[in-house]
Amino acid sequence: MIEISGLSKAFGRVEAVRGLSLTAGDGRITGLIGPNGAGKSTTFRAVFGVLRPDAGRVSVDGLDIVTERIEAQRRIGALPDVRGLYPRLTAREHIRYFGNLHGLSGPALNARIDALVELLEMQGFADRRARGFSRGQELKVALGRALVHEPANLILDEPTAGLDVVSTRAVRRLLRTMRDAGHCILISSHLMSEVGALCDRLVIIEQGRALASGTPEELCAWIGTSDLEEMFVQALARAQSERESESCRL
Amino acid sequence: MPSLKPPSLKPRGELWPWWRRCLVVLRKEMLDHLRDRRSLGLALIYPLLGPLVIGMLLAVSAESMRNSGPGVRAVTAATRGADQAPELVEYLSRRKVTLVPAGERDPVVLEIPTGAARDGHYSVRLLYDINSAAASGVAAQIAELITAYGRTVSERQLAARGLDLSILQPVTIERINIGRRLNIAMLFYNLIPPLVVFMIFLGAVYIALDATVGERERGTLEPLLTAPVRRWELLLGKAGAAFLFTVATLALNLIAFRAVLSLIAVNVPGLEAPPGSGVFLLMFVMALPVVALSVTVQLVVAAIARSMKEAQIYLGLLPLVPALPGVAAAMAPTTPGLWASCFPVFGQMVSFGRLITGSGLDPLQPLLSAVVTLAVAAAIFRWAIWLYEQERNLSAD
Repeated sequence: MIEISGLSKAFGRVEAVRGLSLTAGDGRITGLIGPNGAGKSTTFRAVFGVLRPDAGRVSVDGLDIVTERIEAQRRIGALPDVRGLYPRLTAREHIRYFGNLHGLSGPALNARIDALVELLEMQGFADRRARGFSRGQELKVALGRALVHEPANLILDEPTAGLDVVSTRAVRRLLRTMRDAGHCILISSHLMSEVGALCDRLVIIEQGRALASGTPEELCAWIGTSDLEEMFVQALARAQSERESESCRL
Repeated sequence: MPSLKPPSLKPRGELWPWWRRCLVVLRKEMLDHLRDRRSLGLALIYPLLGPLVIGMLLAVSAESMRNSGPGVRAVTAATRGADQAPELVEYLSRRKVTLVPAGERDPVVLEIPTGAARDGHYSVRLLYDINSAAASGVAAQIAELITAYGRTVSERQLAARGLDLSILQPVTIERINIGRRLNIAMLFYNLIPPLVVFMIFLGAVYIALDATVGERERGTLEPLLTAPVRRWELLLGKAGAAFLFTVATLALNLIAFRAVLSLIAVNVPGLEAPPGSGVFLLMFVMALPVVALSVTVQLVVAAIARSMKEAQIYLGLLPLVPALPGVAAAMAPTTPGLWASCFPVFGQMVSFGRLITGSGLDPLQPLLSAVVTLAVAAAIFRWAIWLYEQERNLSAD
């Protein structure tokens, strides 16, 4: 379970996240949606333990990401927006490197890598060096890297961006399987069709704050539409007009 | 689609001790960079450059010295008015100076004035381009011979009048070379320490860069920081890889120095032999703290630089900083004392110099240098860790 309470993070004068609170429970896929620059990636970086919050707290299975970072990170499978592969390492070596960093080795790790290669359909390029990989291939390697230690909590930034239809379906199926097994999954996506198909719960984030949260059905009912994309657009417009009337009152 | 076995909600894998996590990072860096043919090629070429340059300069200088001195080496010069001073011309030709009629663009021309033989005393002119080393050498040799000839004529003329030349020259200098060997070699051997230090700071610089600022620029740093590894463990693993690469280039550099200089000493008779293998082995051991220092400095520079390009500029200049005091020490007339050991790198270069010249080395000197250098390296490494913990150093933006 991932719990974020009162998270704030600024870069100089730019407040990327302002008092954000949300909970991503076990056995659920939680989607973080918002326009560009809303603070999704900054929030994810704070959950990964890469950025230190200015205020607030992030916990993973009850472990504080700042004070108990190593233990918390052992429970996270992270897919940052930057996939970041080493051009001279093969796909298999990438997964092995992260497996080793998570304390896995020997036949157990080999078996796990083989399973991931098959699961993510990487047989054709698993032993090729990463230089020249397509975006989809890069994403598969990064996913394999995030899944190698079978983490209890998966945090995935745009988990299907760049994948073909078949691979997208495979990843979605994998995420549902993991959810059903009790994993906590937190994703961000710009594709409303994806969040609609996958997420049990959505959090709309705008200008670093949580605008609304609930099941897709609850959010659609709140706005008064059956279309998720329409709901998202109207929710942002409503927030914008509320801000304008607020500033007029002041 | 195949499925994974039901996942466990407990973390898989055990939390390895810190040194094992460092080893994982080190092994990955080694594997990665051993596949990088460009940086590997440079890491192998750099250590050979210093020995080859020093070797060539030494061979040329030794050969030049062996052939120096009037009458030792045959030279040719153009002349105008050779018929005006037949005795001088004959004197020069007996001392291996061939005089040919002057043409349009001769490098050295000897001009003898008309009526020189008749007057008995005259002034000759030597025309040459001082920017040409060869012409200057020939001119110097001819000038020395003409001076000697003039002295001979003076002696003869004074003797005819019953006088002695010593009246005109009460004090004379007689130069006697008591060196059995060509000590020019020592000048070059003294340049080995600064060149070795230069190489240490340059040899594996690309690896230190790629493992740090390169990682940031490629976008691989952020995924790496999501793994359960402390920043200092990551940095230690990367520093370990850069250390091993630098040690390999250092070993190659010293082996090349020993091999090239030995080869030249064997082929140039009378040349002072280079220091023995034991000296180079001691230099290798004494240089290891300098390697540690160079790696930590490179990590700090890579952390401060905003891009790979910027870091390359800084690190390209970096080797000059520690190497220049060593060059000054090599040229200095006196050898610094124990105080020099308190300065990292400079202390080692002074110790290297003592080993090379065989002037006796107090064991306290390299020991003190090692302790001081390692302490400074540890402090700089702590600084590097602090820099890598700063969020502004995590992204390439």
